[in-house]
Amino acid sequence: MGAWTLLIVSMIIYVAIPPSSSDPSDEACLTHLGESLQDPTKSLQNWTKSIFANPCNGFTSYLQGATCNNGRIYKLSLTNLSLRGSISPFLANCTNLQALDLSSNFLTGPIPPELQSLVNLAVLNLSSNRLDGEIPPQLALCAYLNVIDLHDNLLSGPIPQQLGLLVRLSAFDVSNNRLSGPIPTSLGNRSGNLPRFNSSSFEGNKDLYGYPLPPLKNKGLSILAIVGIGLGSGLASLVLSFTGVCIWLKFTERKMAAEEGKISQLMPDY
Amino acid sequence: MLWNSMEATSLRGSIYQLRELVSPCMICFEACGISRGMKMRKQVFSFFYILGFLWVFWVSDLVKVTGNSEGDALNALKTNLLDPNNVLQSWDPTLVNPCTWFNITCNGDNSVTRVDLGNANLSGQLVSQLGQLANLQYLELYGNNISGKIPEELGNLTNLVSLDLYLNGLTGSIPDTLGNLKKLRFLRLNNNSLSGTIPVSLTTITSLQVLDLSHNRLTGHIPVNGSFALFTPISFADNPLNGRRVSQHLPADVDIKGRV
Repeated sequence: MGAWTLLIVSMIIYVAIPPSSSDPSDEACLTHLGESLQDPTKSLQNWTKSIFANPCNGFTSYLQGATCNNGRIYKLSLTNLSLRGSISPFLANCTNLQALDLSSNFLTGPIPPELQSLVNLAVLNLSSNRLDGEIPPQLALCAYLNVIDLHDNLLSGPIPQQLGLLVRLSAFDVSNNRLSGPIPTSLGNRSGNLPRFNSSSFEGNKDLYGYPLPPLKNKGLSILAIVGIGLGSGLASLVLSFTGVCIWLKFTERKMAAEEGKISQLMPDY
Repeated sequence: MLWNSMEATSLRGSIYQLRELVSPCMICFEACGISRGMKMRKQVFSFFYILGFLWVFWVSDLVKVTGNSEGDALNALKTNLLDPNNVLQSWDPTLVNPCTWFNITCNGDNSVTRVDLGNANLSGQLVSQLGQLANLQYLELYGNNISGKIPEELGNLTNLVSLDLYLNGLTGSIPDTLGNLKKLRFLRLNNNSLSGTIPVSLTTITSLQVLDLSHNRLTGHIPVNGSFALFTPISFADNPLNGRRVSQHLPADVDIKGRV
């Protein structure tokens, strides 16, 4: 009798509490991200191993900064939490991730090229961090990217021209980095119906050039100026020396005339 | 104006009560020596009688307008659903408003803002009267066995923020009136038997954050403009869209030519 009640009670409990789903990919993704990030101010309240195993219950998320959809992590927003450390490449295991926002922290290290596996990523915001290295061209494989925001970091190297192939890209900001080289025409001078990005998306990069940035100001003089100065100074010196010779001649002429005058005075009249 | 039996009996009762109130006045008239003839008295009496009648008439009408239209709408839903778990037991239509009913939330003006009936083992069909809940923000009917069509009157719920009808047995097409829900953030119709095409009007809802139409029988092509630019194949999976089953297939605008 007791066993039956126990069975019925446990069945009722099973039915009453909707099962929370665990996805092994999401678990691996969160575990590795939790290890690569450092949280000195203890801002990530419940980022513990037990929560990683079961972060989602349908649409409810037990994990701070994570939003769930159908039991999978679909949005991660960990902005302005004084986080340090780096972005783990295993973040790519969160394959249902549609929005990643790690902005306004102190993250270092590169943007992992493994993020190419996030095939559902639509929004990538890593702005205002201390990320270095180059922008991985593999990001172009995240075909649904609408927003790439990497401003205010220490990124170097060129802007990959493959990023211009992202047909849904409507917001692009790499300002205030250390990028160099030409702005790819596929991004700066887009054709057709694709939205164009103006210079504010690219400025603050010392060695970055090309449309739509204004042309670089020369530090030294241009060739024309140098030639002009050379010719001008040559001409001026010619004129000066000519004038000098003229004056000297005139001077000696007068002296000679004066001397002749003296001699004629001294000479008696015959 | 339709009167149900309950209202008729209450009105009758009020008229009897009014008569009782007026008869002391009659005595008063006689006592005060107002005897301008029986005709005058009768006229006065009839006047008050009519006035009282109109007053009761008007008040009951007023009560109907302010309190019960939302309760009537929800009651219509209740009568159209099968409720083996008695989740709707507290839904009493004789109350002045539905704000005390379980699974119903109201705002400060006693107008319904939330209907929370997820995973309630309900079956039956939805009703068009749901469109009368003008201040409704959350319609949570997921995880039931509700069949029939999505009423196009749901497009009148202009304050709706979340529409969750997923995991049911709904059929028919997605009404394009849903494009009028300009504050909608979550639209989850996944895991039903919906057919037809995805209405393009949905792309005009700029507030849309989460869209899930997966696991249905939708056909036609996937819109990619407006708010739909943010949505990836997950939102449309397991439908015979684009002429073939969509799993990780890329929509028309995205191709993988010339990749790294």
